[in-house]
Amino acid sequence: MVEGYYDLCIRYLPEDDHSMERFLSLATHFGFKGAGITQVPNGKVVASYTGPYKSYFDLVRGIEIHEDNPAKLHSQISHYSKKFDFVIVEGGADKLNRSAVETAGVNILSLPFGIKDGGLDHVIARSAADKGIAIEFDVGSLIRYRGGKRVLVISELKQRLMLVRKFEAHMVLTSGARSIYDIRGPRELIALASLFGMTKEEAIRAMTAAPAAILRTKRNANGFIMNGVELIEEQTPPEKQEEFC
Amino acid sequence: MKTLPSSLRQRKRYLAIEVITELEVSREELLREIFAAIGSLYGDIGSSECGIRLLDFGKQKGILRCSHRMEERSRAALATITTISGQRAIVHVLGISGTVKGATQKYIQCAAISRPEHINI
Repeated sequence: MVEGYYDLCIRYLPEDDHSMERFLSLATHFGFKGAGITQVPNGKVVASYTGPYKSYFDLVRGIEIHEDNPAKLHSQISHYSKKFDFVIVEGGADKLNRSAVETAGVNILSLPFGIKDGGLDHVIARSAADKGIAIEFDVGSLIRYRGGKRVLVISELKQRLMLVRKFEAHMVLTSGARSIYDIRGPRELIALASLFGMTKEEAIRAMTAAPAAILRTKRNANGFIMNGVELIEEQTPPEKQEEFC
Repeated sequence: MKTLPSSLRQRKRYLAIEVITELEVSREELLREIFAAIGSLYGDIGSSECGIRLLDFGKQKGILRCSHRMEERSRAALATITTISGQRAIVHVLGISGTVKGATQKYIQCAAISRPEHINI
Protein backbone atom coordinates (compact mmCIF):
# COMPACT_ATOMS: atom_id res chain seq x y z
CA MET A 1 0.00 0.00 0.00
CA VAL A 2 1.19 3.45 -0.86
CA GLU A 3 -0.90 5.19 1.73
CA GLY A 4 -0.70 4.44 5.40
CA TYR A 5 -3.40 3.30 7.73
CA TYR A 6 -5.26 5.85 9.78
CA ASP A 7 -7.55 5.38 12.73
CA LEU A 8 -9.41 8.64 12.88
CA CYS A 9 -11.75 8.31 15.81
CA ILE A 10 -9.68 7.61 18.86
CA ARG A 11 -11.74 8.92 21.72
CA TYR A 12 -8.95 8.52 24.19
CA LEU A 13 -7.16 11.58 25.42
CA PRO A 14 -3.60 10.95 26.53
CA GLU A 15 -3.23 13.18 29.55
CA ASP A 16 0.47 13.82 29.69
CA ASP A 17 3.56 13.31 27.58
CA HIS A 18 4.18 9.88 29.02
CA SER A 19 0.79 8.47 28.09
CA MET A 20 1.03 10.17 24.71
CA GLU A 21 4.37 8.44 24.17
CA ARG A 22 2.79 5.12 25.14
CA PHE A 23 -0.07 5.69 22.76
CA LEU A 24 2.18 6.66 19.87
CA SER A 25 4.57 3.76 20.40
CA LEU A 26 1.66 1.34 20.40
CA ALA A 27 0.09 2.85 17.30
CA THR A 28 3.34 2.74 15.35
CA HIS A 29 3.95 -0.81 16.57
CA PHE A 30 0.57 -1.79 15.14
CA GLY A 31 1.47 -0.24 11.81
CA PHE A 32 -0.56 2.92 11.76
CA LYS A 33 0.78 5.85 9.82
CA GLY A 34 -1.39 8.29 11.64
CA ALA A 35 -4.19 8.62 14.11
CA GLY A 36 -6.82 11.15 14.89
CA ILE A 37 -7.60 11.97 18.48
CA THR A 38 -11.09 13.31 18.79
CA GLN A 39 -12.09 15.44 21.70
CA VAL A 40 -15.36 16.92 22.77
CA PRO A 41 -16.09 20.66 22.83
CA ASN A 42 -15.15 22.36 26.12
CA GLY A 43 -13.45 19.19 27.21
CA LYS A 44 -9.88 18.55 28.14
CA VAL A 45 -7.44 19.63 25.49
CA VAL A 46 -4.70 17.32 24.35
CA ALA A 47 -1.34 18.73 25.24
CA SER A 48 0.64 19.38 22.10
CA TYR A 49 3.21 16.68 21.69
CA THR A 50 6.77 17.37 20.66
CA GLY A 51 8.70 14.17 20.92
CA PRO A 52 10.59 11.70 18.77
CA TYR A 53 7.46 10.26 17.16
CA LYS A 54 6.38 13.58 15.77
CA SER A 55 8.58 13.32 12.71
CA TYR A 56 7.03 10.19 11.25
CA PHE A 57 3.68 9.76 12.96
CA ASP A 58 0.81 11.82 11.62
CA LEU A 59 -1.17 12.87 14.66
CA VAL A 60 -4.28 14.83 13.83
CA ARG A 61 -6.92 16.33 16.03
CA GLY A 62 -10.63 16.16 15.54
CA ILE A 63 -13.64 17.48 17.31
CA GLU A 64 -16.69 15.41 18.06
CA ILE A 65 -19.82 17.47 18.43
CA HIS A 66 -22.69 16.16 20.53
CA GLU A 67 -25.56 18.57 20.13
CA ASP A 68 -29.14 17.57 20.64
CA ASN A 69 -30.55 20.76 19.20
CA PRO A 70 -30.33 20.76 15.38
CA ALA A 71 -30.59 24.55 15.28
CA LYS A 72 -27.42 25.01 17.32
CA LEU A 73 -25.45 22.46 15.33
CA HIS A 74 -24.56 24.81 12.52
CA SER A 75 -22.93 27.44 14.73
CA GLN A 76 -21.04 24.77 16.66
CA ILE A 77 -19.65 23.27 13.47
CA SER A 78 -18.58 26.57 11.97
CA HIS A 79 -17.01 27.54 15.28
CA TYR A 80 -14.88 24.43 15.56
CA SER A 81 -14.19 23.46 11.96
CA LYS A 82 -11.36 25.97 11.57
CA LYS A 83 -9.63 24.99 14.77
CA PHE A 84 -9.46 21.25 14.19
CA ASP A 85 -8.34 18.96 11.40
CA PHE A 86 -11.70 17.30 11.00
CA VAL A 87 -15.20 17.44 12.43
CA ILE A 88 -17.27 14.51 13.58
CA VAL A 89 -20.94 14.91 14.39
CA GLU A 90 -22.56 12.37 16.59
CA GLY A 91 -26.03 11.83 15.23
CA GLY A 92 -29.03 10.49 17.00
CA ALA A 93 -32.59 11.46 16.23
CA ASP A 94 -33.63 11.80 12.59
CA LYS A 95 -33.84 15.60 12.65
CA LEU A 96 -30.34 15.89 14.03
CA ASN A 97 -28.92 13.57 11.38
CA ARG A 98 -30.67 15.53 8.65
CA SER A 99 -29.25 18.83 9.75
CA ALA A 100 -25.81 17.24 10.23
CA VAL A 101 -25.59 16.00 6.65
CA GLU A 102 -26.90 19.30 5.33
CA THR A 103 -24.29 21.43 7.09
CA ALA A 104 -21.04 22.27 5.37
CA GLY A 105 -17.89 21.49 7.25
CA VAL A 106 -18.86 18.09 8.60
CA ASN A 107 -16.42 15.34 7.69
CA ILE A 108 -17.65 12.26 9.47
CA LEU A 109 -21.09 11.28 10.71
CA SER A 110 -20.97 8.97 13.67
CA LEU A 111 -24.16 7.24 14.67
CA PRO A 112 -24.79 5.60 18.01
CA PHE A 113 -26.34 2.14 18.12
CA GLY A 114 -29.80 1.22 19.27
CA ILE A 115 -31.58 4.54 18.70
CA LYS A 116 -35.24 3.91 18.04
CA ASP A 117 -36.27 6.75 15.73
CA GLY A 118 -32.88 7.48 14.29
CA GLY A 119 -29.94 5.76 12.76
CA LEU A 120 -28.90 5.60 9.15
CA ASP A 121 -31.68 5.55 6.60
CA HIS A 122 -31.69 6.01 2.84
CA VAL A 123 -32.25 9.76 3.07
CA ILE A 124 -29.24 10.34 5.30
CA ALA A 125 -27.10 7.93 3.29
CA ARG A 126 -27.93 9.65 0.02
CA SER A 127 -27.25 13.18 1.20
CA ALA A 128 -24.08 12.04 3.00
CA ALA A 129 -22.89 10.57 -0.28
CA ASP A 130 -23.74 13.80 -2.13
CA LYS A 131 -21.91 15.96 0.37
CA GLY A 132 -18.93 13.64 0.67
CA ILE A 133 -19.53 13.02 4.36
CA ALA A 134 -18.08 9.73 5.52
CA ILE A 135 -20.07 7.34 7.68
CA GLU A 136 -18.21 5.99 10.66
CA PHE A 137 -18.07 2.23 11.23
CA ASP A 138 -17.08 1.87 14.84
CA VAL A 139 -15.96 -1.70 15.50
CA GLY A 140 -15.14 -0.80 19.09
CA SER A 141 -18.65 -1.88 20.05
CA LEU A 142 -17.89 -5.35 18.71
CA ILE A 143 -14.94 -5.49 21.07
CA ARG A 144 -16.60 -4.06 24.14
CA TYR A 145 -19.97 -5.76 24.12
CA ARG A 146 -20.85 -9.42 24.54
CA GLY A 147 -24.03 -11.32 23.87
CA GLY A 148 -27.29 -9.71 22.91
CA LYS A 149 -26.02 -6.17 22.57
CA ARG A 150 -23.29 -7.28 20.18
CA VAL A 151 -25.83 -9.15 18.09
CA LEU A 152 -27.79 -5.95 17.64
CA VAL A 153 -24.66 -3.98 16.84
CA ILE A 154 -23.63 -6.47 14.13
CA SER A 155 -27.04 -6.40 12.49
CA GLU A 156 -27.13 -2.62 12.60
CA LEU A 157 -23.67 -2.35 11.07
CA LYS A 158 -24.74 -4.76 8.35
CA GLN A 159 -27.74 -2.58 7.56
CA ARG A 160 -25.57 0.52 7.43
CA LEU A 161 -23.09 -1.20 5.15
CA MET A 162 -25.89 -2.10 2.75
CA LEU A 163 -27.06 1.52 2.58
CA VAL A 164 -23.56 2.95 2.26
CA ARG A 165 -22.75 0.53 -0.56
CA LYS A 166 -25.94 1.39 -2.38
CA PHE A 167 -25.45 5.15 -2.31
CA GLU A 168 -21.64 4.92 -2.51
CA ALA A 169 -20.98 7.08 0.50
CA HIS A 170 -17.52 7.10 2.01
CA MET A 171 -16.78 4.83 4.93
CA VAL A 172 -14.34 5.31 7.77
CA LEU A 173 -13.37 2.26 9.77
CA THR A 174 -12.29 3.11 13.29
CA SER A 175 -11.69 1.43 16.59
CA GLY A 176 -13.42 4.19 18.54
CA ALA A 177 -11.01 3.50 21.37
CA ARG A 178 -11.89 4.89 24.79
CA SER A 179 -8.68 3.74 26.39
CA ILE A 180 -5.27 2.66 25.24
CA TYR A 181 -6.30 -1.00 25.54
CA ASP A 182 -9.13 -0.52 23.03
CA ILE A 183 -6.77 0.21 20.18
CA ARG A 184 -6.48 -2.56 17.60
CA GLY A 185 -4.15 -2.97 14.67
CA PRO A 186 -5.25 -2.43 11.06
CA ARG A 187 -5.39 -6.15 10.25
CA GLU A 188 -7.49 -6.77 13.34
CA LEU A 189 -9.88 -4.02 12.32
CA ILE A 190 -10.19 -5.62 8.87
CA ALA A 191 -10.98 -8.97 10.48
CA LEU A 192 -13.57 -7.37 12.77
CA ALA A 193 -15.14 -5.56 9.82
CA SER A 194 -15.46 -8.85 7.97
CA LEU A 195 -17.79 -10.01 10.76
CA PHE A 196 -20.54 -7.77 9.42
CA GLY A 197 -19.79 -8.38 5.78
CA MET A 198 -17.31 -5.69 4.84
CA THR A 199 -14.82 -6.95 2.29
CA LYS A 200 -11.10 -6.60 2.79
CA GLU A 201 -10.78 -4.05 -0.02
CA GLU A 202 -13.54 -1.87 1.41
CA ALA A 203 -12.01 -2.05 4.85
CA ILE A 204 -8.58 -1.07 3.57
CA ARG A 205 -10.07 1.83 1.64
CA ALA A 206 -11.95 2.91 4.76
CA MET A 207 -8.67 3.14 6.64
CA THR A 208 -6.35 4.54 3.97
CA ALA A 209 -8.00 6.46 1.14
CA ALA A 210 -11.04 7.83 2.98
CA PRO A 211 -9.15 9.39 5.92
CA ALA A 212 -6.46 10.67 3.58
CA ALA A 213 -9.12 12.37 1.46
CA ILE A 214 -10.65 14.01 4.53
CA LEU A 215 -7.31 15.31 5.70
CA ARG A 216 -6.30 16.46 2.23
CA THR A 217 -9.37 18.64 1.77
CA LYS A 218 -8.84 20.16 5.19
CA ARG A 219 -5.17 20.83 4.71
CA ASN A 220 -5.58 22.41 1.30
CA ALA A 221 -8.25 24.66 2.71
CA ASN A 222 -6.13 27.83 2.68
CA GLY A 223 -7.67 29.27 -0.45
CA PHE A 224 -11.07 27.91 0.39
CA ILE A 225 -13.79 30.52 0.70
CA MET A 226 -17.04 28.60 0.62
CA ASN A 227 -18.43 25.51 -1.02
CA GLY A 228 -17.51 25.72 -4.68
CA VAL A 229 -15.57 29.00 -4.36
CA GLU A 230 -11.86 28.69 -4.05
CA LEU A 231 -8.99 31.11 -4.27
CA ILE A 232 -6.66 29.93 -6.99
CA GLU A 233 -3.11 31.16 -7.19
CA GLU A 234 -2.66 34.09 -9.49
CA GLN A 235 -1.72 33.18 -13.02
CA THR A 236 -0.38 35.40 -15.76
CA PRO A 237 -3.35 36.51 -17.87
CA PRO A 238 -3.39 35.30 -21.48
CA GLU A 239 -2.12 38.05 -23.80
CA LYS A 240 -4.45 37.64 -26.73
CA GLN A 241 -7.60 37.93 -24.67
CA GLU A 242 -8.96 40.92 -26.67
CA GLU A 243 -9.40 38.82 -29.77
CA PHE A 244 -12.16 36.84 -28.19
CA CYS A 245 -14.11 39.85 -26.97
CA MET B 1 -4.20 -44.38 17.00
CA LYS B 2 -1.62 -44.02 14.34
CA THR B 3 -0.73 -40.53 13.13
CA LEU B 4 -2.35 -39.75 9.82
CA PRO B 5 -0.08 -39.44 6.79
CA SER B 6 0.68 -35.81 6.02
CA SER B 7 -1.51 -35.82 2.91
CA LEU B 8 -4.58 -36.70 4.96
CA ARG B 9 -4.02 -34.27 7.81
CA GLN B 10 -6.02 -31.12 8.20
CA ARG B 11 -4.19 -28.07 6.95
CA LYS B 12 -3.15 -25.61 9.60
CA ARG B 13 -2.05 -22.05 10.03
CA TYR B 14 0.19 -20.80 12.78
CA LEU B 15 -0.38 -17.35 14.25
CA ALA B 16 2.42 -15.62 16.06
CA ILE B 17 0.69 -13.65 18.80
CA GLU B 18 1.74 -11.09 21.30
CA VAL B 19 -0.13 -10.15 24.45
CA ILE B 20 0.09 -6.55 25.57
CA THR B 21 -0.69 -6.14 29.25
CA GLU B 22 0.75 -4.36 32.22
CA LEU B 23 1.78 -7.49 34.12
CA GLU B 24 2.69 -10.83 32.60
CA VAL B 25 -0.14 -13.32 32.15
CA SER B 26 0.04 -17.07 32.39
CA ARG B 27 -0.74 -19.54 29.63
CA GLU B 28 -3.88 -20.83 31.35
CA GLU B 29 -5.33 -17.38 31.85
CA LEU B 30 -4.75 -16.51 28.21
CA LEU B 31 -6.28 -19.79 27.00
CA ARG B 32 -9.38 -19.31 29.12
CA GLU B 33 -9.87 -15.85 27.69
CA ILE B 34 -9.28 -16.97 24.09
CA PHE B 35 -11.89 -19.72 24.35
CA ALA B 36 -14.35 -17.43 26.09
CA ALA B 37 -13.97 -14.85 23.32
CA ILE B 38 -14.20 -17.31 20.47
CA GLY B 39 -17.11 -19.13 22.09
CA SER B 40 -19.13 -15.98 22.57
CA LEU B 41 -18.43 -14.78 19.04
CA TYR B 42 -19.02 -17.95 17.01
CA GLY B 43 -20.64 -20.40 19.37
CA ASP B 44 -19.56 -24.01 19.80
CA ILE B 45 -19.77 -25.01 16.15
CA GLY B 46 -17.82 -22.03 14.92
CA SER B 47 -15.16 -22.50 17.58
CA SER B 48 -14.64 -26.11 16.66
CA GLU B 49 -14.27 -25.13 13.00
CA CYS B 50 -11.56 -22.68 13.98
CA GLY B 51 -9.66 -25.44 15.77
CA ILE B 52 -7.70 -23.11 18.01
CA ARG B 53 -4.81 -24.49 20.02
CA LEU B 54 -2.15 -22.60 21.90
CA LEU B 55 1.13 -24.36 21.19
CA ASP B 56 3.67 -22.31 22.99
CA PHE B 57 3.52 -19.23 25.16
CA GLY B 58 6.12 -17.40 27.12
CA LYS B 59 7.35 -13.85 27.67
CA GLN B 60 4.04 -12.50 26.38
CA LYS B 61 4.54 -14.07 22.96
CA GLY B 62 3.28 -17.33 21.62
CA ILE B 63 2.28 -19.52 18.71
CA LEU B 64 -1.39 -20.26 18.19
CA ARG B 65 -2.58 -22.91 15.79
CA CYS B 66 -5.82 -22.63 13.83
CA SER B 67 -7.41 -24.32 10.85
CA HIS B 68 -6.49 -23.37 7.34
CA ARG B 69 -8.70 -20.54 6.00
CA MET B 70 -9.89 -19.67 9.49
CA GLU B 71 -7.11 -17.14 10.09
CA GLU B 72 -9.29 -14.09 9.68
CA ARG B 73 -11.98 -15.52 11.90
CA SER B 74 -9.48 -16.35 14.58
CA ARG B 75 -7.93 -12.92 14.27
CA ALA B 76 -11.32 -11.29 14.74
CA ALA B 77 -12.01 -13.41 17.80
CA LEU B 78 -8.61 -12.57 19.27
CA ALA B 79 -9.29 -8.89 18.69
CA THR B 80 -12.41 -9.06 20.86
CA ILE B 81 -10.38 -9.97 23.93
CA THR B 82 -10.37 -7.01 26.29
CA THR B 83 -9.29 -8.39 29.64
CA ILE B 84 -7.14 -11.30 30.77
CA SER B 85 -7.72 -12.34 34.38
CA GLY B 86 -8.96 -8.93 35.34
CA GLN B 87 -6.36 -6.73 33.70
CA ARG B 88 -6.82 -4.91 30.44
CA ALA B 89 -5.13 -6.59 27.52
CA ILE B 90 -4.64 -6.53 23.77
CA VAL B 91 -3.90 -9.69 21.82
CA HIS B 92 -2.04 -8.68 18.70
CA VAL B 93 -1.30 -11.04 15.82
CA LEU B 94 2.27 -10.46 14.69
CA GLY B 95 1.97 -12.66 11.62
CA ILE B 96 0.63 -15.84 10.12
CA SER B 97 2.66 -18.69 8.70
CA GLY B 98 2.14 -22.21 7.43
CA THR B 99 4.68 -23.82 9.72
CA VAL B 100 5.64 -23.41 13.34
CA LYS B 101 9.23 -22.84 12.32
CA GLY B 102 8.24 -20.11 9.87
CA ALA B 103 6.10 -18.31 12.39
CA THR B 104 8.80 -18.47 15.05
CA GLN B 105 11.64 -17.38 12.81
CA LYS B 106 9.81 -14.68 10.94
CA TYR B 107 7.76 -13.04 13.62
CA ILE B 108 9.05 -13.95 17.05
CA GLN B 109 12.81 -14.22 16.75
CA CYS B 110 13.19 -11.43 14.20
CA ALA B 111 11.05 -9.16 16.29
CA ALA B 112 13.23 -9.92 19.30
CA ILE B 113 16.35 -8.98 17.39
CA SER B 114 15.09 -5.82 15.75
CA ARG B 115 13.08 -4.68 18.74
CA PRO B 116 14.75 -6.04 21.84
CA GLU B 117 12.68 -4.22 24.42
CA HIS B 118 9.19 -5.52 24.88
CA ILE B 119 6.46 -2.94 24.54
CA ASN B 120 5.26 -2.33 28.05
CA ILE B 121 2.22 -0.22 28.30
